[in-house]
Amino acid sequence: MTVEAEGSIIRLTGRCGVEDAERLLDLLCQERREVDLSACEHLHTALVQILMGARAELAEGGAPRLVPWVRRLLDTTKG
Amino acid sequence: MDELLEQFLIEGRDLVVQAGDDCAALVKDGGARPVIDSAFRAIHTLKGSAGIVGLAPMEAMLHAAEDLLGEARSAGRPVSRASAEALVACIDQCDRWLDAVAAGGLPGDAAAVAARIGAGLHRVEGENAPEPEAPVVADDGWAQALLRNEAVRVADGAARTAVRYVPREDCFFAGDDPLALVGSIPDLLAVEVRVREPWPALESFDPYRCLLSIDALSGAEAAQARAVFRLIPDQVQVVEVTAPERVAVSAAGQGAAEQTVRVEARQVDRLLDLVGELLVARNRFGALAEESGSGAHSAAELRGAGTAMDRVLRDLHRTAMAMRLVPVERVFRRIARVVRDTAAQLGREVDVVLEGLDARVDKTIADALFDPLLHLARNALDHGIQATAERSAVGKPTRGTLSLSARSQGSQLVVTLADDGRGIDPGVMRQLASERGLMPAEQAAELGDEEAIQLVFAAGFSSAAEVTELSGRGVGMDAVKVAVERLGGRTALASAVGEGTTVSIHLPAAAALTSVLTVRVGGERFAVPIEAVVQTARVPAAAVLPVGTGLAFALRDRTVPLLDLGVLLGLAPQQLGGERKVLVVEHGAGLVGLGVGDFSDRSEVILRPMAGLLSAVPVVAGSTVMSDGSVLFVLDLAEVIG
Repeated sequence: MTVEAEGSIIRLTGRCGVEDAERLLDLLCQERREVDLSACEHLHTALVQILMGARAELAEGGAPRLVPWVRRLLDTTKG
Repeated sequence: MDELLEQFLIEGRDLVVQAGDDCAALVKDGGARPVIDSAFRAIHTLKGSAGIVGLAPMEAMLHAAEDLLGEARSAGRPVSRASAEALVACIDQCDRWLDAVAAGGLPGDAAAVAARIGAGLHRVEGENAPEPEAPVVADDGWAQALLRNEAVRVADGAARTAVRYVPREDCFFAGDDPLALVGSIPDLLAVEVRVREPWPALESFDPYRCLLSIDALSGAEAAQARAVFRLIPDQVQVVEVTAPERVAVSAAGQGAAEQTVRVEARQVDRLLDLVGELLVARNRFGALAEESGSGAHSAAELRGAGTAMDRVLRDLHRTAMAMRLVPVERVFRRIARVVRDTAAQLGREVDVVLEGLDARVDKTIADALFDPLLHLARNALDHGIQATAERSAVGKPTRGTLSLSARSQGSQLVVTLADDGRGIDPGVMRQLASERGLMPAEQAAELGDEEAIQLVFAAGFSSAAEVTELSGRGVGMDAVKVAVERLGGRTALASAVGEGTTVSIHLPAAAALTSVLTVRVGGERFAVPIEAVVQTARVPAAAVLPVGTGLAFALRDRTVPLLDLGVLLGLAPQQLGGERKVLVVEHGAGLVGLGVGDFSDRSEVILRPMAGLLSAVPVVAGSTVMSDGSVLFVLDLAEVIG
């Protein structure tokens, strides 16, 4: 299990593949918007697409390589 | 309203106007590259701003429009009429949403509407796209755009290869991870990810369908980038890029932007107020020059300084007034949009032709012009332009034309709204006039054709029988006439049976906004131009002294004759209470006090010159219609005092 909900936050851990897409979408549909990528090592395109489509909010901090990049992607979706 | 949103609404209107203008031009002629570029820029900017203020449906819909134009640009092909019409519909929708946002927020169905319009844009785009062909390497429209977009992050000349990767929708099932693949491009400099269609609602989101399109810039050779995608060459375009013509583009853009500065209407009004106060202060100055009188020399100098100040003040006043002038374009565009909506609702085919969009008019007038014009346009659609079948039966083009034009004529703005509909039949007008009790049948029968047509302006002419969903809102043409008169204008109508109807509205271009003080005299209200008033004073009855046959009072060591404004106007004299309310005005070389019943607040009004019989009355400078609908005469005090 690499996609988990903790209260209102969705935490992604390790290598998140296309098989996690449905679970992530499900959690986002339950009005959870904040996503924590700090322990995420890889994010499949399908998941990135869901984060963009859901206008997800990224929790502060996190993996230096992945997070700024995804954050910028989400920002361009919004702007 | 938060400042960002406020700014967005202002800019958004401008962008909608620009985009609407360009897209309308594309409907006529889909080919012109500069027009496509201009539409693309406006839509791109609007999309970005919509995203910033969180209007996701608008953003998504505009994204589809941007894609459509982007494709046409990069393929160097014209935009088809169907595509251009879809674009116009998209821009019209944005305009409607701007209204909605200004009034509180997007309607609940916005996302659905955006999806429908966005899908429409994709559909026509698909229909018009040429047969798929092998990627042309020289085709670098998108690549240049990408370079320009990423110029902030990518140093000039660093990028050598641009990649556009449009993964197949079912690529996840094929085991592809498109972003990971892009991530493996050597010397990756920038990545842009776009969605190919409006985002679906989260509930209906298919997590296994790839909707993305990915652009990337790399410092590596094209061959190296191509190698990354060797298994899916059909989904990528790889082009070699050179430095973009960025400088020319941005320079052109800035040149246009710096010519105007956005100023809030409130600030201009404040400026005008200040100028008004200066004018009053200047009047005091003149009076003081007389009073100071310590030596003829200094009084003359003061007067000289006063004259110089007058000149500057007049200039300042004119400049401030000119700041309030706005082009009629925005009002016209809104009318055009409503006409299109209404025509669609009625199943009429109507082309709206707009002319003279640059003509400028005072902002107050531009704003107030919307309702009467809208009413006229609705009337034209409802009663004027016939249904398609009827039009072809009488040999007219099936598409009706409604033209809305503006031109400056001296200090006036003439707005004309013309339709090529059925026209007004004077015979019918005569009959209706007697049926509706406006005049006896015999009298109606004697009316000339021209007079009979003018009956549409008569109050109470429109009847319940005519009240339709569109124009029947309890107001008829008489309401239009009154509204125009309130703006200091007049309305004229010409019509020929079978050919159409033209309504012209003559308006003062620069609203002669005059500051007036309302005074009550002998039970009547009058307005007095504030420029003429040096000051208002409350004089205790005991301080009013008989001098010769008249009265006078002391004002700062000066004896000022006191006249009764009521008596001067031939009305009843003022009741003498504990204190007299007095307007102190300049007259000849000195001051004169005018006793009035009461004075109230100052206000800004549009002064109308007197017409007809009343123009012979010298004491009246003009009239003005107050916000409560009452008419007030504005007095020419110099004439009143005589």
